[in-house]
Amino acid sequence: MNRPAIVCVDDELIILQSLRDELRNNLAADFTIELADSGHSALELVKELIEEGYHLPLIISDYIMPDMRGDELLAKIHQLSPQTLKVMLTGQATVEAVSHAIQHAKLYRYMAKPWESEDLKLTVSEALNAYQQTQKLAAQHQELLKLNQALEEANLSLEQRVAERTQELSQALESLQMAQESLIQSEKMAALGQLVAGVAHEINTPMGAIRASIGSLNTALGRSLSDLPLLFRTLSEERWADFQHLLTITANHQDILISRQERKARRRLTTILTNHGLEQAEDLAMRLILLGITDEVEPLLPLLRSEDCDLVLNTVYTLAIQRNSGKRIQLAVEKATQIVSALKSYARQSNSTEMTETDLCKNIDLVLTIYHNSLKQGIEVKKDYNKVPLIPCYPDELTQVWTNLIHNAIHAMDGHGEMTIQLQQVDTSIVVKFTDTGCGIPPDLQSKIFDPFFTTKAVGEGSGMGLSIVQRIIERHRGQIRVESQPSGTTFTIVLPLPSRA
Amino acid sequence: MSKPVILCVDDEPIVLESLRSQLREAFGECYIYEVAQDADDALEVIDEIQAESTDIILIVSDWLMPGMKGDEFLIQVHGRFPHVVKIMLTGQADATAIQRVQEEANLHKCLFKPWSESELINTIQSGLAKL
Repeated sequence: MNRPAIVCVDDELIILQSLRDELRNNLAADFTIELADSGHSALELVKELIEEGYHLPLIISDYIMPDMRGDELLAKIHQLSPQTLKVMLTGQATVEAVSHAIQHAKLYRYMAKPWESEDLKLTVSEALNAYQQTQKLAAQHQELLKLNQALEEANLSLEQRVAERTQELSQALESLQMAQESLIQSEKMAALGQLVAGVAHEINTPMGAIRASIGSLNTALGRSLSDLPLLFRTLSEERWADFQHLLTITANHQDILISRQERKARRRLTTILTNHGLEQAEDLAMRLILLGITDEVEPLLPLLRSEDCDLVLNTVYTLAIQRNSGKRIQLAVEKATQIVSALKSYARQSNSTEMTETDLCKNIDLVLTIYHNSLKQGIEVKKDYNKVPLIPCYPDELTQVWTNLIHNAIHAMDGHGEMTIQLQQVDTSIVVKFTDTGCGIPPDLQSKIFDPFFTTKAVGEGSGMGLSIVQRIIERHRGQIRVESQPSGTTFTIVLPLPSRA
Repeated sequence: MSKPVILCVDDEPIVLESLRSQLREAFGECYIYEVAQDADDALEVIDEIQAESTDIILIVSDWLMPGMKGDEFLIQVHGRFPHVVKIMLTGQADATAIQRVQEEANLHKCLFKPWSESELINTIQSGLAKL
């Protein structure tokens, strides 16, 4: 960095020299003192100095010069270097010239010739001081501008960072929500997994009946095909009438007898037949029972005593087997279908964001169907359903609620006890109550059961998410869930508000 | 004295009906075929049969039933009638329960639902042959 330069302009060399000497004496060697003997050379000089990077704090110029007047020169220099302080030095300047210089060159000071040495010294040092102050201010201003800019940049980048963080956070929230959804789904699937074994039994039972019935059907059909022609050829009119009578009875024989009732009926029939003097009364009774005949055997006595008895009873029985096998297959298929459709609606992932009008009775029964196998082994289910209106809800989610409550109840009762499900409308809400006769929840745990990951089950048996998900689902329906528990049992009460009628 | 009794125990009427139909088809009038819908009912049948001084020779029992399960039922029966042939017919295999019946009730065989007729009949025949 070059030193600051002070430029002196006068057409008289003597003046220039004395100015230089005085300035040299009074100022430290910090300044370069440049001289110019005309306006033009002064302009050249100033341009050069600026190009070379000098600071130009001060220019002292004569007023009267042959090529250019001092006020003109200073005005031009002002254009080139506005911050330079300008001092005019003359013996005969007019007021106009001075005011011109003040106006166009921002004249700092006007000094009369001959100048007082003290005055020059003071003027120059004040001017330099002022220049330095201005420079300092400018630097400070510059610094402030920089700071301001940095601040603006920081502000901008802060805003950007906030936006980025917001974006990150909302992404995190989104993935959290997805995780939660998948947790709910996996909880549902875990519950389902525990059920699969039981469900296998539920499905294999009707399958077994179907397979056995088809076998019976085929054999019986074969036998019918060989028996019937014989029957048509040999039967008397009375026996034919008996045959048709028996067919009518078997056709109307709907109910499958409970074994206990069946044994009683068989014993009674055996006695009646024995009293009528028939041989092999027990066998006969059994065969009649299988055809659905439990009393009023008197009209059949002639048939039972005749030699065609076996042929008629056997043929009717074979036909009855076919009828009954068909009926059993139908029942078994219905049963299997019911289980499969319950499983299907249970496992279905709901993508629906809209509530559907739902019959809560059916919604709860769906879960009972799935749990039928677990429940039937020792739990009596009492349904106390009152008529309630359809309610707009997310049916799949509510299914999950009932599943959890039923599952917990079975667990609490260790498979044996009584579960009451109550459904009723109270004012503008539907209230569902699940009461079990289980071991109850200790008072100190009652406040924790809705916490995520709280479980009393053994490791691997439950995720502990069940009731917290239940609560979340109920809240989504703007409802409430409460628990009351004693060592003799627990009641979960769910209140679902019905929409207010517009 | 009446004919020997084969007893089928299952909580599903359609299974009982199917079994009885198959047994009658295979063995005709040789036996009386009794059915019971749970273990309590079955024990009652057994008592009645005893009272009539009739022999119960074979039991086909479901495992998963309301109330007492098949394994416990067969073990109880075994305590009173060790010679009765015991067959379990189940839709769900519980290995521990099966093992228990094998050890404690001399289980003849465990069949799985859905069963095949020939398998059922063969099993019953081989069981009766041991008597």
